[in-house]
Amino acid sequence: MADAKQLAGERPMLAFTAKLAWQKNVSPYFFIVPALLVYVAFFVFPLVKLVELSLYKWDGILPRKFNGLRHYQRLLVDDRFWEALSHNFSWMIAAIIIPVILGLMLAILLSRSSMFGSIFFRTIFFMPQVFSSVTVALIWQWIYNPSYGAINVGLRAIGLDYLAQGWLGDSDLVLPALFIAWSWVHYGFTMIIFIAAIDAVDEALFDAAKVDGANLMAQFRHILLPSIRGALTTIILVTAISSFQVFDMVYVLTRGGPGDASMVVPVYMLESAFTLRKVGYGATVAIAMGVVIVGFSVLFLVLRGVYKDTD
Amino acid sequence: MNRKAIFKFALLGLMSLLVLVAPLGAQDDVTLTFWFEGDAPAAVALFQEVADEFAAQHPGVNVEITSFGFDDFLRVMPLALDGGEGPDVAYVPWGLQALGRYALAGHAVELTDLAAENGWLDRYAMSDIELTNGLTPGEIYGIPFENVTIGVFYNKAIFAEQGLELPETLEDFEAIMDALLEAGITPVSVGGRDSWPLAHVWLQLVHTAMPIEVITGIENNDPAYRLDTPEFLAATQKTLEWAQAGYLDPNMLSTGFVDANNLFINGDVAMNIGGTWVMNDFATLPEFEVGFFPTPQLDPELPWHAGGKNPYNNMMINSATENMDLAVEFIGYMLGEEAQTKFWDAGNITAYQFDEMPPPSTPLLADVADANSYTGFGYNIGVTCSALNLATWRTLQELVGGDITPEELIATNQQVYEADCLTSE
Repeated sequence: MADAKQLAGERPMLAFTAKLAWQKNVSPYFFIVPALLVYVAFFVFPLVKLVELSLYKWDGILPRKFNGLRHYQRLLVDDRFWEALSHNFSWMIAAIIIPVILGLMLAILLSRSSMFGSIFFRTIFFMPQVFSSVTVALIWQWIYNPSYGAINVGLRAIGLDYLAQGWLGDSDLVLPALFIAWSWVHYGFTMIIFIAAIDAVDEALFDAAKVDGANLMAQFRHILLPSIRGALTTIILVTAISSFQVFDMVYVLTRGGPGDASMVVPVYMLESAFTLRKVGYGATVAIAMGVVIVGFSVLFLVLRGVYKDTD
Repeated sequence: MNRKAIFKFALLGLMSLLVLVAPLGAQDDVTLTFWFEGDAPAAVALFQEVADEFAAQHPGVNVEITSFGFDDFLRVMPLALDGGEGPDVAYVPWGLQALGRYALAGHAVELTDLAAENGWLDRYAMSDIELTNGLTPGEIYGIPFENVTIGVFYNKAIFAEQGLELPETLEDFEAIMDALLEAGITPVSVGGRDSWPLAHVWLQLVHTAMPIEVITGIENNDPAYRLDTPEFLAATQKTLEWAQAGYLDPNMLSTGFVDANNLFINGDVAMNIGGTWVMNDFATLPEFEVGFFPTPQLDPELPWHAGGKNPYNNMMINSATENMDLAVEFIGYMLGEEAQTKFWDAGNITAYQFDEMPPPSTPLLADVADANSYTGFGYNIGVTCSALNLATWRTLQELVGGDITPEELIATNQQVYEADCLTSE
């Protein structure tokens, strides 16, 4: 009888515990739902539509016609696409090296030294990041102008007339010229992230290293670099992805020219979808670009994981 | 209730009344929307002036104008039409390709009967109407509004200083460019960074090297015509020759359209090969007088047909308009003599055929009108097939940049013509 009473008393307790557990396990999903709905509406649904579009021939106006996987077949043998993709890869490699190293150097200089006015310099170096990319492109359009641009005027002023040239009109120079303009904005971003990471490193580690006789290089290699590895990974990933998405600078300054010397995949996608009105093919190019970015990101994270495990 | 409270109550009542009555008063006002391609300040001001004049003649009607750049218009308009939106009336660039497709998709109102009833067919050349409505044979959806011509704008002061006469032959023209080079003056500015201005130079030579039948055949995507013929090769070789000789600005591939125009406007170069859409700027901005002559012929035996001389933008009515009658009235006004005289006076080559041409408003317009009087129409190739257009722009940059040969350029163009123009997507 006593057991029955005890059981009767435990049942509400069990029900209450189960309710708590259910609330704990299930209720978070209710909070996720709004964000999930937004995600589905603004990412998953457009993505599905994009894949659907890639299977059709459509000029954006007249009724579309089913085309199967022919756009994908065509993409595989489209020399212009592969050339544009190779430019994006070159851009990515340069982007992972130059603005990242520059940003890191500046961050170390501004964080680890006791130089006067470091806040001022942080602001100055970060300033280009604040401008819209089209504004930056217009600034560099002026800098590169062959007649009155800052570079050529400067070269002429110091007697180096023979070096003055049309920077954006030379098929060998145009891509590096565009990359420099892009880096001018991007190194500010890498610098700020590195500064935040460096500032978070425990100063006691450096003090201990100094006591042990470690020089600056050893401190960098054995303390600073391992401590900011998370930030470095983020920066490399973000930089790599953004270098695949580079559009504004190229579109405003050269539209991929001269010829296809500075053509990159996003500009080619726009040209295909809107200028040539091959919306289906443009969608195919967009999907290919997405696959490359996701593929690179996964590969990079896997490699980083492997490296971390063996570290 | 004290006096203050009564006053507050009365004020509240008056405001409520105003809120209720205001929409009733506004019910008579109709807003007609008009989109057009052309974002130059002078063009926007002109369209605003004409729209305001129409509104003034129609009490209770407002005309809301919106201007777009060329690329923006071609991107935004189809999206708007597809969504059942867009303007009541539009001034559509790229006649055949844009207008024709809007019509085929059911977005444009057929104007065939209206054109006859309103006498537009008497004022606008049927050949122009047929060309711009080429995708809908026998049906009219757009009326050509403006003619454009491409030719050579020149600095009269530099020509006078250097003792140069206007050229009659291509040899004369090249001799002028040699003389300018010797005097240390860059002969021709070209906005080659934007690619299409460079294509205009090439097109001028193409148009003077072959019969008009070839151009119109290619414009109509006729497989009987080719782009890798000796005539195309000769025009391409001549373009390269001019670039290598320094006749064309050596920095052209890093100079945009606006900068190239500014080089001419500032007197830094002697000539600019361009279209009449820059005429307003060239007539008003330079401190010297600007003249115009058609590009001399590569083959002088052929009848002269100026490259790029063609009917261009078209007036159309959106089939989704809720103001059909007003839209028809507006389009009629825009195509009528009053508005067309304003456009002519502002320096546009109107497609409207006046009983008696009004006097040219500027010496430059007089030069262009004079050139038009002895050269025939010569439609731009590539206008009907954007893939060919883009391929030409791209390969010409590669040609003058030394990356490909003239033979490779014409082979690429022919390949694109076969792949994309003869079997359009």
